[in-house]
Amino acid sequence: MDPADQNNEIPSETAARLRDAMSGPGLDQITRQRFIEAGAGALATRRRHRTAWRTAGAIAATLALATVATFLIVRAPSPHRMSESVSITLAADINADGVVDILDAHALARAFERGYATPDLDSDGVSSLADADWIAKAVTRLEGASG
Amino acid sequence: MSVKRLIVLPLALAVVLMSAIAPPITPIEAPAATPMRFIAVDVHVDSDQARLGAWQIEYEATGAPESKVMLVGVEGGEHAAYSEAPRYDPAALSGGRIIIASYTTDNNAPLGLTRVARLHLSVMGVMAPEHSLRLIAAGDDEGIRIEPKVWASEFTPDASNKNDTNTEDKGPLP
Repeated sequence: MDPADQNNEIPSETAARLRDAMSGPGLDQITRQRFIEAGAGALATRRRHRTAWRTAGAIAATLALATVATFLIVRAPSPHRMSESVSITLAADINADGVVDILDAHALARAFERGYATPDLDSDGVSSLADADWIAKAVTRLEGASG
Repeated sequence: MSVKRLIVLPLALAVVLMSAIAPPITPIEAPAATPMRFIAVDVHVDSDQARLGAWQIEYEATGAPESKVMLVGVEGGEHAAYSEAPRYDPAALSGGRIIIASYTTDNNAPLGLTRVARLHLSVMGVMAPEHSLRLIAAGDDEGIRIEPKVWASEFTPDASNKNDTNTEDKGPLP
């Protein structure tokens, strides 16, 4: 980058060409100097505008990327959620046949009625027939239902 | 690259990606002047020599693409062990597909043929739906997996089950 870009001065090459163009008769030294100062001012304004546009562009690009990334992260299941789901599935497979279905609700209800220890699947603090009902609700959900 | 493009291109990219990710906006359907009626569909299970301890079945109304079929209610079956409405996802109401399931620890679970549930549907349109059933799981009173026959039939108040439509496992009519 031209050093003149940094200090808002007219690039030296441009300044020299301006001086050549104004070196003819009829222009005094003060008028020439004012021309050069006016040119420098116009260049500085243009550079400020360019810097402002670049900054706005960078902010817009960052916001766009952040929005897209947020959407993707929210939609993707986190490893924690997945492992939670796997543990619930394993706990609900009461008859250990590798599938969670209504037979597990039946098995849990029978085990509970016969006095066996059964898991607290609905996390209400007690093991009861409500846990069998919890399985029945889970396997009839339209999304993610077994079978 | 011009500075304005630096702003416009990322924003355009964001708009395109968001429109691809966001759920589609479904237009609100205007009420149509199509005929509407209510039907009831009985779900039957024939467990033959086994007592039916648990069952899980998927129902879907098919074959009527121009009619709008909506589940509006679920009722229990004829046997005391299954007289209460089976478990189902309330989200299924307003659609044409549902998974229903129930179990009993009653020693007198039904043996052989029994109606386990009755589904109530509204049908908007002239085409009559077909009733498709899929057995997901069933077990006897000991929890042992069985493969009973399942089928559906439209219930009519005069007690004659007409329009029987069953799955691949068609069983005897009641």
